[in-house]
This record gives sequence, structure tokens and C-alpha cells, in this order.
Amino acid sequence: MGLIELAAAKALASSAVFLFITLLMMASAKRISTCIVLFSVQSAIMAAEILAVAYAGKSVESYAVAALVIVVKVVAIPYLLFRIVRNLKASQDVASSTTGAQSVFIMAALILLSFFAVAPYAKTLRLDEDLLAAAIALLLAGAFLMVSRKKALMQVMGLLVLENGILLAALTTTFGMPLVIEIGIFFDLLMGVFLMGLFVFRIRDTFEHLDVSKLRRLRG
Amino acid sequence: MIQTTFNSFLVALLIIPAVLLLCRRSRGTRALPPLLLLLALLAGTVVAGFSFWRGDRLALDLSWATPFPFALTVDRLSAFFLLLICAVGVPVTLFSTSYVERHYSGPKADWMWALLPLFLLSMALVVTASTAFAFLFGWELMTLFSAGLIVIDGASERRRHNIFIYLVMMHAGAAAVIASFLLFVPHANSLDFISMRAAVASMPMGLRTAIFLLSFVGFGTKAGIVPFHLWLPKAHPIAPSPVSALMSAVMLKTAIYGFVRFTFDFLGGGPTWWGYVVLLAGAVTGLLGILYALTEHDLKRLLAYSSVENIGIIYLGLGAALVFMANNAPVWATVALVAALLHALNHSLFKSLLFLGAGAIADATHTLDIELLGGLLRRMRVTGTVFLIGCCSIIGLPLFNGFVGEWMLFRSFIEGAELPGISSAIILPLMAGVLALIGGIAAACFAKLYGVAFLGRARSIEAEHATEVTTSMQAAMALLAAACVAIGIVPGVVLNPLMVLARELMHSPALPEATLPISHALPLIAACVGVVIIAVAGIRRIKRVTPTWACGLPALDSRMQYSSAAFSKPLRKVFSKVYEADRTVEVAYAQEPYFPKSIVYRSVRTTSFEKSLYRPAVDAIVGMASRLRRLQTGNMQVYLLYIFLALITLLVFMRFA
Repeated sequence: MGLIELAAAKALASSAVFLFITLLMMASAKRISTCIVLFSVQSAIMAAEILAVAYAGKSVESYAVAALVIVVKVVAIPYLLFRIVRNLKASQDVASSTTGAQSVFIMAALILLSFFAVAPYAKTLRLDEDLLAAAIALLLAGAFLMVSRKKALMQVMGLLVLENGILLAALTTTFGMPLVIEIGIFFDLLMGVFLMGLFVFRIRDTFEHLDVSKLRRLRG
Repeated sequence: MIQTTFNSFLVALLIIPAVLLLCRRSRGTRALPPLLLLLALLAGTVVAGFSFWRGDRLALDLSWATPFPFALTVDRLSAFFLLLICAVGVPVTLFSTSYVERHYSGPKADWMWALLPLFLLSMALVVTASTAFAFLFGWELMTLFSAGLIVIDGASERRRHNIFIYLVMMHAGAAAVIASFLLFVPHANSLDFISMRAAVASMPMGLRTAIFLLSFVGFGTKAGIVPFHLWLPKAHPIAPSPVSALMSAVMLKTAIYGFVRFTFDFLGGGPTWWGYVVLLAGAVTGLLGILYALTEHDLKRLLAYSSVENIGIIYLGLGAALVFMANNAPVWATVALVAALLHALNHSLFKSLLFLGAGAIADATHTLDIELLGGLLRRMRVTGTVFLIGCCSIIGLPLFNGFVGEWMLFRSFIEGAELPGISSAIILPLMAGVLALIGGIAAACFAKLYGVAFLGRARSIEAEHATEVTTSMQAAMALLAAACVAIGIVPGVVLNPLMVLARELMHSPALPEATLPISHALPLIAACVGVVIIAVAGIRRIKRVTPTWACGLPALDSRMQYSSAAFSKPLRKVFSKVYEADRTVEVAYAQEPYFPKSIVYRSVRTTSFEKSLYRPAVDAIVGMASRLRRLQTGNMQVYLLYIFLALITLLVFMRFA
């Protein structure tokens, strides 16, 4: 076994831990820009994982997907989000409805829950339990961020984390989706961020704030 | 030949809106769509008549063109109702030609001429359909087109509310109808009428009862039996008069058709209690309908309530037929069924006549409040005469068509005393009493209507300056009046084919002898009466014209006449438990309590159904909805939380499952 194979195997085995760390840090983060950086790091871990899978499976498509992840999720989306944050000139606070400690505890509980949930499947399907649990944890964490943070930008953040979870779930169960679908998803995501960016500005211009919990008048 | 005519009748009704679109621009061809409609309806009348009298079967299968089985078949039962639709459609169209011209212009007139043929087509579809899908298709369109025709007259807040009630109740009824069709599914291999008929034999009794009850409620909502009649006095009066004539006279009958098709054709009768349910519904509907009609002062609302009453009479006949069938007396079941069907035909003739008469009155005086009418007979000779014929028919006077059906119904009720079952032997004759009561109150009601509107002196300036309506309106009403008298004098024309139809439905071996004399006796009586009338008219009498004695007062004025409210007061007193009027008296005093400045007296008759049945039901639903509304906080994060919690619950659930 060559050095590269060993590195790939290590990356695959331990990346779940790194992902959990990013999630816990995201839960405790107070500033939006911290979250963006954490998301970028998280995406980079994902990219490393895809690279490892690509190397193990010798598939060209997976290299392309890894490249796309690096370009779109590690660079482009964080850059766009940073620009939005800068242009908004609003406060950086994530406006959490739970305190930092509570968030970390909830996040830890969610991670435990995902281990608890995937245990039987991982055994019967002979999948990597840690990675599958990480995928579910990313999904739950994204949803949790969307629920608990009041800033519109954090909703985008939650959606992106959630999408990472879906990507990881696809990666661990079927060794990645076909390239066409991946490209579609990335395009979707990019458009989504663009649109959300536009809406964030519109919300600020119309309501003078970014707090989605105050947008109550829309109900019928 | 007859099949081709039938096909072209359907196609003609379908393409009239397109023709209308083409002809709209030029003035010369403007009369083409009404003419086409008239011709199509005449063709339809001929086809239906042939099929009804001779028993020819027509069939048209369009399943190749539609995504679901869509076929039409005309058997005797369908032909009878198709005849009813077309025969009433002809005079109504004739009436509409000048009604539309005088009341609508531009797009409204176009809408009228576009929707009218489609409405008629949808009704024709309902009565000729031979697959469930074709039936339901026509059934839904019928509701929508009629609602569209109502909207033509305007869509103010109040009217929209009434149309809303109409649509909601119709859709609720349609849901019951659809359910009763779907209940056939496990036993019938397809939803065409032939396999549905065949499937009944293998059905358990409980399923049959469920189908019967669902179809009873579903069709009953359309027919307007109490307590599902709520929409009828709301929707019918606000439609344009020709449309109310069609809705009341024809559309309600499609529900009768559906009920007869289900209960007699498919299910082939059932236990005795089915008959009791229908009888009870008929009795309550008839009595309450005519009692409510009695107190109405709005001409069209009065007629709408009277439609409720007549539906009640028809249901009485159907119920009696079911009871006879269950007691193994197919001969008398045939008589009762024929009575019900004949009354359906009669009602559509005289009720369309009366609604067109109401349209004529509104056309001449611009009001439908009978308290503002009076003395119209002198100014509108033809309308007054035909309206009188309509009134005589509806209360069932001999020599008018209403008599024949009601007489047969009485005959079969009294015959019910001979039945072996003790409960049937008591209940059926009792129903004869109910029918008599209904007839008596109906007589009072229409005596009031005719007396107040057409006799005496004018109660308003409009009524005083009323002039006779146009010739085509008169012709339309005269046509219907002639039909009423013709059936009243020579009932055998429709009675004999109806007997055959009912025998086919009942699989009854013999014709009932007891009812045959009626069709022979009536022409003879009519001849005698005619001779007497001519003789009396021939005698010259001395005429003396003097003013009416006014108890010594200088002159009579219109306010001294019996008003509509006064005329019905004694009966309202007797039946005061039914009405529950909300009375309020507001007296405003200027300074001292002895000299009131103004007194306002208001008496609103709230139908107790609205108050005690519909209001609580609606309140309960709305209350539940507003409690559920608390889930809708409007906060985006709460919605996300719902999804989040659902996700986590599912995960935990999956783990333990």
C-alpha cells in the first residue's frame, strides 16, 4: 500500500470527526463571517473525501465533482456570502434564539441522534457508520441552524449545510451521484445563493432589518 | 335517421357558442344562434318523443375520443327526461329571444346565448349518460353553467354569497353522488350502467343500503329536499327569469332522474324502510316547502319554495312505489312511480310557465314584490290568463295537468291500506292526508299570489303603467299553458308510455286497471264543461256598472285591499310553530311618549334549518379551522421547526420500527 492510498484511507476514516467539529463550532459561532469560514472548511473536508473516493474508485467523474465542490462551495459561495455581508453593512450577529451553550448541547444531541438512527442500516448495508452518521448530522444541523437563527443569511447558511449533508449521504451510500445530477445541484445551489442574496437586500430595504422572525404579516 | 338527428342535436348545442363568436360582429346574423338553439331543441324534442313513445334505443359511444369511458344511451327513462328538457327548452328559448334583447346588451347577451345551450347540453348529458364518468361530467358542468348564468345578472356581495352557498351545497351533493358511484367498484368490473346493474345481484345488503342512502342525500341535495333545500330559494330567485325557469323546472328533475335510475333501475328497490325514508322526506319537504312559499312576497322566491313542495310530492310518489315494491305489490308500485314521473313532467311544464310569467311581470313592472303589484290582469290579458292556467295546474284542479298525477298518487296511497304489513297499511293512507294538506295550502298560496298580483287595484305606479309583453314572450307562455291544458284533458298521451316505462322498470306483469278510466273520463268531462261554458256565455245578461260600496267612505284606494301578508295571516297563525318569526318593533319618540315620530316594524322569518342545523355545523367547522390556524404563526422559523421536528420524529420512529 502506497503512501497516497494510506492518506486517502486516513482522510476517509477521520473526516467524520472533522465534520463534527465544524458543526459544533458553527453552533457556538456568534458572527456570520465565522460561519461562512466554517462552511468553507466543511466543504473543503467534503472535497477531500470525494477526492479519496475518486482515487479509490478510479473514476474521472468523481474528480470533476471534487473540482466543482472546491470551485463552488469552498471558493465561490463563501466569497459571494462575504460580499453580501460586507455590502449589507448590518451587524454581524447571527441572532440566535438559543444561547451558545444550549446550541452546542443541542448540536451534540443531534449528532448522537444521528449515530443512534443510522446504526442498524450501517450494519445491514455494510457502510461506514461514522460517515453516514455525519451525513445525517449535517442534515439535522442545517435544519437546526435554519430554525434557531433569525438572520436571513443564516437561513442560507443552514440550507448550504443541509445540502452538504445530502451530498455526503449520496457519497457514502452510492459512492456519489452521476456527474450530471451533481452539476445540476451545484448550479441550483449557486442560483439559490444568488437569489437569497437578492432577497436579503430586498428584505433589508423594505423592512430595515434582516430578522425573519419579524416577517409575520405574510400569513393569510 | 333518428340516431343522426340525436347526434346533430348534441353537436348543434355544442357549437352554438362558436357560431355566436363568428356572428357577433355583423348585425344581420345576430339572430342565428337563438334560431339554431331553437331548431336543435325541436330536433331533440322529436328524437326524445320518438324514443319515449316507441321505445327505440339510441346509443353514442365516444370512448375513443376521451380518456375515460364516455358513452350515451337513450332508453325509455332517459328519453322521458330528455323530452322534458327539450320540451321545456323550446318555449324558454323563445321567451329568451326577446327577454335577452330587452334586458341585456353586448357581452352579457353573448354570455347568455353561449351558456344557455351549454347548460341545456349538460343536462341532456346527465339524463342520457350510460357511464359513470359521462354522468358525473354532465352533473358537474350543470352546476357550473347554471352558476355562470346566475352571475350574468350581476355579482354584488349578496348575490355572490348566494351563489357561494349554491356551489358549496352542489359540490357536497356531488361528492355523495360520486361516492355512491364508487361504491359499485368492488363488484362491477367497469362503471358503465349495464355492468353496474348486473353487479347489484352480488352485493351484500349493507352495501346496497349505503349506496341508497348516499344517492338519496346526493340527489336530494340537487332536488332540494328538506333539509338540503337551503340553496334553492337563494339561487333560483336571483337568476335571470328564463334561467330560473330552466333551473326549477328542468334541473331539479335531473336529480329525480338520478334517484330513479339508482334506486329503481340499479338497485331494484329494497326493504320497506327505504320507502319510509323517502316518504318521510317527501312529506316534510312538501309541507314545509308550501308553508314557506305561503309567506313569501317575492314572486320568484315563492315559486322556488313551491318547487321544493312539488319535489316533495314527487318524492312521496317514489317512496310509495318503494313501499309497494317491498310489499310485493308491483302493480300499485307502477301506479305510484308513474304518478311521480308524471308529476315531474307536469311540474316542469307549469313551473316554467309560472317562472316565465314572473319574468314577464318583472319585464312589465320592474318589480317582483307582489305587494307592489295588483290589477295586472286588466293590463296584461294574455300573461294574466296563462298565469291563471299555471296556477290552476299547480294546485291540481281537474282538467289541468297537475290533477292527473296527484289523483293517481291519492289512489295509490289509499290502496296502501290493503297491504299486508300493518305499518304500511297505516302510513300510506296517512300520506294521503299529508298530500291533501299540501294541496290545500298550495291552493291558498296561489290564490294569494294570483289575487294580489293580478286582481284588484294597482299598488304602485309601475303596476299601474304595466303594458303587455312582447309577442314571442306571450307565445312562449301560451305554448306551455296549452301543454298544461292538453295533458290535463288527454293524459293518456303521456300516461300510456309512462305505464310501459314503469312496467319495464318494475318488471311488473300487468297494467293496473284501476287508473285507466281517468284517461278516458277526462276528455268527456272536458267536453261537458266546454258545453256548459259555451251555454253560459251564450246567455245574455243585463250588465249594471256601479262603484264598489266602500262602507260609506268617499273612495277606495289600493291600500284598503287585502295584502299578501294579510291574506296568509290566518294560516301563518295556525302554523306559527313552523315559522318562528323574529319580530322587532322600534318606536322613536319625538318628545313625549304619546306621540311617536316613527314606528318601524320588522318581521323576519328565519328558516329554523338555517339557525338550528346549518349554523352550528358551519360554526363547528370554522371553529376547528381557526383553532388549527394557531399553527400558522406566520413566523418562518416556526414553520422550519415543524419540518425539523417531523424529520427528527421520523428518524426516531424509523429506528424503533
